[in-house]
Order: sequence, then structure tokens, then C-alpha cells
Amino acid sequence: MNLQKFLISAFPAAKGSMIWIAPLLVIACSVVLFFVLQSLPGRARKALIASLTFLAGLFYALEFFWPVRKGTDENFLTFAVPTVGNVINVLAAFTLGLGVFSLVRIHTGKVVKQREGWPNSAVLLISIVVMAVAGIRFENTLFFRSLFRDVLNSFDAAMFATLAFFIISAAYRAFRIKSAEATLLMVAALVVMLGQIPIGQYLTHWIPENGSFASIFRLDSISNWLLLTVNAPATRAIGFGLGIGGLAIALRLWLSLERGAFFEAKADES
Amino acid sequence: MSSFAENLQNIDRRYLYLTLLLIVVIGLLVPIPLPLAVGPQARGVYDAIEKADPRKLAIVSTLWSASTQGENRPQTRVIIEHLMRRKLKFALIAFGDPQSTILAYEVADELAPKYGYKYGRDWINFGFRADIAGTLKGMVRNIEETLKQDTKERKPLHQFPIMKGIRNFDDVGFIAEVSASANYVSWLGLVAGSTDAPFCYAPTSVMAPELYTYIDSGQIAGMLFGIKGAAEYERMLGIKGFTTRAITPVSLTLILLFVLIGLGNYGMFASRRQGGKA
Amino acid sequence: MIEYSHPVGIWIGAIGTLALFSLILKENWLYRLFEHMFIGLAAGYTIKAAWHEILKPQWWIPMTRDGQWPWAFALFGGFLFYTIFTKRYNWMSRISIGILLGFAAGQAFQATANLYIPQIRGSFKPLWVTQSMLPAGSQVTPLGQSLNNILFLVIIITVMTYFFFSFEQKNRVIQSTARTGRLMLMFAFGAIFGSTVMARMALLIDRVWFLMHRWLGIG
Repeated sequence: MNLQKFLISAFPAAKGSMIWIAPLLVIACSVVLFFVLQSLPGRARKALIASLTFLAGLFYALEFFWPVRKGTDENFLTFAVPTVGNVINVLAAFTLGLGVFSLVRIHTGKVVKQREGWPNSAVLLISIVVMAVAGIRFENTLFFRSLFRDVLNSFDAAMFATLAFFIISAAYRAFRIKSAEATLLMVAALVVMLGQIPIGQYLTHWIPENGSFASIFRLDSISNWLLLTVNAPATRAIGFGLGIGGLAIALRLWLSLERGAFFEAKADES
Repeated sequence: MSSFAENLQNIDRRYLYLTLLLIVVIGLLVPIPLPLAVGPQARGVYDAIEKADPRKLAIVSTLWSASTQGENRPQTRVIIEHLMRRKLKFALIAFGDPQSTILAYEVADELAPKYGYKYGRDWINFGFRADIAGTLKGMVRNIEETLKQDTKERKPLHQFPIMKGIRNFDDVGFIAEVSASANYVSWLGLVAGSTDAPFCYAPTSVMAPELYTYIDSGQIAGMLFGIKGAAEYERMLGIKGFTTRAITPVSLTLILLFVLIGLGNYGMFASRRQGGKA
Repeated sequence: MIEYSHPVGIWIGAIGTLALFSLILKENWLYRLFEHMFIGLAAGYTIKAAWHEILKPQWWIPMTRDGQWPWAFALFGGFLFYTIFTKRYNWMSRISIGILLGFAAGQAFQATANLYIPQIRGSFKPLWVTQSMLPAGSQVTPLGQSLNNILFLVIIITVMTYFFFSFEQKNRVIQSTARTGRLMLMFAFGAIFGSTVMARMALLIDRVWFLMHRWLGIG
């Protein structure tokens, strides 16, 4: 019997009233499990976290490294990839609520205790409720669509657009050409950006775009050459470092070798 | 009393802001009629769509919110418009930022009547997924098993005519990602090798320079360099949209930046010559 | 066609945009009010998206309609994240976090291989290019392409040398190679600097266009 058939027979779909009873039983078991977990000593907690992390990583690692069956591109684990992907998505969706929960907790406290700025906190809480209710209950109404596009989108875009003012001011005040490095950075920025915009391109527009040796001296060609022949290998070299570092971090996380407050301290508390 | 050179280094920020704002407004109202040269990267996206197999599904993946809509919305628009012109059936999918699923849907929904595109027959919205890597790994094996249903009508995918004969990435003929983040790592790392479909990328300008290494290696078939890439694409499609108008203020603001940096540095050098504060 | 905008929404959006822009002059009560409203709306939308886009179709419906009861365990897994807010039980949040990190780590092998092997392969460029090696219609001469390829390789080596910290760079050749690498990096950073400014300007232009065109009807 292969793994897929075994799992289907081990976890048969519920029917009739069992559709509701089975999940409720699982929840009841979860409550018991919760208290069992809490009774574990510090060492067992660490071992449990390390084992589950390792098993989770082992799934994708094995699925990638295990040889495929003849005539297919699948091995004994491939069938489970979509379901595991869904499990990750569902878990990740629960994490989306963490930030919201934290916001609600902090701002409710502010409103209840009427601390400084509490009216703003009240506005924040009302906004959460209005958007969540409009999105879930009245999704297909003009109210929600306008709230999303005209209000939320406008605010979001405006928040980030203010950076344009700050970047101009910061570049003017801080960009001083005091070294060879700063000069190169400035020259590269100038040539690359002039080659990207019509006004810059106009400076060399009299050189034919194609079919002539002189074409390589057009500003847009020089800009493209800088990006492909100077910028690309530099970023590639950085990328190689990032790749090796990323893989090392992944291995450390997978094998629970990572040290620090997050992985060490809390499990010891009992 | 401070010298002219020192003053050049200390222009009040309010004047800078006002100048920037004026340049943007004037640039939007009075576009400078200068053509924008179409670069090889934007041409790469265009060619990839032109060569895409009409029997296969095109996928437009999005990861952007309204915070970067100045660049990502027009990029999404030109890619979808080109797909519609070519009568290619396509699916939208969003990762990372939950806003992007509605934002991309709106773009497609507004263009659909112009090209007679019908939802479910010619295009579909797969919706938003929080985790890109797990989702893509699943889609490589089976799209419906991984995604289950669409996000507009909330029906199982097999009930839509567009999904007939579409099982996994073997049945995908073109992939584009419009993004404000480094999603290409997942696409190139987990999907490349499972499909022959060319992968094109439309990042914000901030990210564009770091992607040239993937263009050089052939992993990315084409790229739209932020707002400028969208403007190039509008030119290729013969559209006069937002970016065709916006490229003038983009040019003017960049020139303002270099002029201001030049002024600040001139002030520094002049001040040094006078023996003042640099 | 479906309407996505309403004049009232546009007015609120425009007033909010101006209020948020007021930050550039000075932090003020109007900015803080709209900032809180923005955060609230974004958080509310996150709840909607998490439920409508993921939890309902991928978790609730399979569990309550299709009888796939093991999905109920995901509720427990999801609940464990929230123990992070309690002092006594917060260690349990690391069970779920560990599982997610484990999955990500397991995927890293495939992702790294597929991402970087073509990059490594693509770095071994021919240093002597002949006409037949150039693509049809290429604007570059064989000599020009050879020089490009040599430069490409030199930059990769010099930049990698710059980032090589496993031993102290005392050798003069290595020092000058690393220095060249640092200068080459400045070219890349220059390109990134310019494009960062372009990106920020695009966001501002989009907002100004919203105020001018959609709110005031100009242009």
C-alpha cells in the first residue's frame, strides 16, 4: 500500500452529522494536547520544537532529493505537495491576524483607559471594524469597492508618496562628492538615469538607434550597457554571497542550530 | 553673514518641496513630446507574449499594494492589455500583499469589455495566497488541487471553461510577475525547470537593477523597468495612458535631483575655496 | 460595467491624501488622525483577505462541507501563534513558527539550486568571441563582445574578492582586486540610487495625478 492510499484510509472523509462532530472532537483533543504540552519540562519542549521543525523541512528536502519513479517525475511524497502547500497557506493566514490582534489589544487598552491620543485609537478600531465587515458581508457593494479604491488605496499611496519629498531633500543635503567611490556612484546614477528618460535620450537622439556602430554611443545604449555589463556582474557576485548565506541559514534553522533569545531562552522557562 | 556658497548648501526644505510639486504638476499638464526609446528588456516581454502559445494559459502574478501603484498598476495594465489583444487566456494570482488580488482584478475587469473578455471563459482570478513557495510547489504538481476555487465566483476551478485541459505548469505558456518585492526568487527557484513558459518580470524601479543578472543568464525573458518600462510598453502597444503622460514629470524630477545634488556640491567646493564650512 | 469609485470616496481619499502629505511640513493632529484611519482600514482589509481568500476556501469549506476533519488541527496550529501574547504559554508559539520555518528551510535546497546554477553557468562566458557565436542581428562586434565578457568576469571576481572576509586581506594583489571590486560596486549602487529616486517620484506623480484628475477634474 502506498503512502497516499494509507493516508486516505487513515483519515476518511466525515459524512452526515460526523462532519461537525469530528472537527469538534479534534478541537477537544487539541485542548487536552495544549495542557499536555504545557506540562512538558523545558528540555522536552526544545526537543519537540526541534523535531517538528526538522520533520517539516524533511518533507520538502526529501521530496526534492528522492529519486522519481520510472517514467514519471514524481516520487512517493510528490502527491502530498499541494496539500502541504495548503497547510502552509492556512497557517500563514492565521499569522496575518497576529498584527491585527496586537493592534486591537493595544488600542482597546488606550481607549478604555482614555490615554493620550485615545480618539485616534478609537478611529483606528472603528476603521478595522468598518473595513472587515464591509469586506466580508458587503463585498459586492459600491460602498466596499469605493472604500477600498478611493479611501484605503489613496491613503496607502499617499503615505509612500511622501518619501519623494524626503528623498529629494536628503539627496540634496547628504550627497557630497568627497571620494572616488562617491564620484563613481554619482556618475553611474547620472548616466544610467539619463539613458532611461526621454529628455536624457534626446541628448543623443541624432545617433541612429540601430544599424550603425555609432548606436552604442547613444545614452540609452550606454545606460543599458552599464546595467548589463557592469551592474549585473556586481549584483551577481553579491547574489552568490547571499545564496550561500541563505542556504547556511536555512540549514541552521532546519537543524535548530540557530542560537539566540528566540530559540533558546523561552523554551527553558517552565 | 553666511556666504552665497553656504546658502547654496542650505536651501530651505519647503522651497525644495514646492519646486518638486510644481515640476510634477507642470509636467503632468504640459507633457514634453519626446519619444522614449524602447529598450531590449521591455521588448523581451513584448516578444514573449507575441510568441506565447494561445492553447496554453498565461499567468499574471502580482505582489503590490496601492503604495507602489504609481509603477505597478500601469505595468499590470499593459501586460494584461497585450494578453487581451493577442486573445490569450490568462489567470491572475496574488501573493504576499492581500491588496494585490483586488487591484489586479480591477485592472483586468476594466479592460475586459474593450476586448470582449468573459470571466471564466477567457480569464480567471485565482486570488490571494499568503505563502508563495508552498503554493507554487503545489501548482507545479496540480493547479486545481492546490488552489481549489477562484476568488470571484468562488466555484471549483474545473467548473470554468478556461481551466479545461489545464492541469499544471506544463499547460502554462507565459508567466509574468508584477511585483514590489523579490518574488522572483520563488518563481525562478521553484517553478523554473517545471515549465517551458518564459518568465517575465515587472518590478518597481528600485528593484530593477538587481534583476539584470537574471536577464543576462536568460532566467528572465524580459523586464519592465518600473514606470519607464510601462511607458515603453505603452509606446509599443500604441496606447497613450498614464505613463506616457507621467514620463515627463519623471524626467523633470530626476533632472531636479541632479541639479540639486550639483548645487549642493558646488556650494561645498566654493565654500572650501573661500575657506568656509564645507 | 461595475463602478469602483464614488464621489464621496474620492473626496475622503483626496482630503486624506492632503492630510498625510502635511507630514512633510510638520507632524500634526490631522496627519495622525488619517494615519490611524489608514492603519485601521489596512488591518480590517487583512482580516477580510485572510478569511475570504484563504481560510474560507482552503480550510473552512473543506472541513465543514467536504468532511475533511483533520483540517481542525490547523485551528490548533493557528491558535498556537497567538500564545505569543501570553507570558506563560508563549513558548508554544514556537511550535507553529518552527513548522513554518522548517518548511521554508526544506524548500531552500531546490530554490537555491534552481536560482544559482544558471547564474554560475552564465558566468562562464567565452573570453574570445567569434562572429558565429554572436546572435543574429547583434549590434556588437566580436571584439566588443569579447571585451564585454572579460569585463563581466573581472567584475564578478573583484566584487567576490571584496566580500571575502575569511582571512585578512594583506596581499597587495588581493587588496587592489578588492578595491577594484568596491569601485565596481559603486556603479551598481549608483544605478540603484537613480532608480530608487525614479520609483519614489512615480509614487508622487500618481498621487498628484489623482488629486488633479480624479478629484479636481483637471487634465
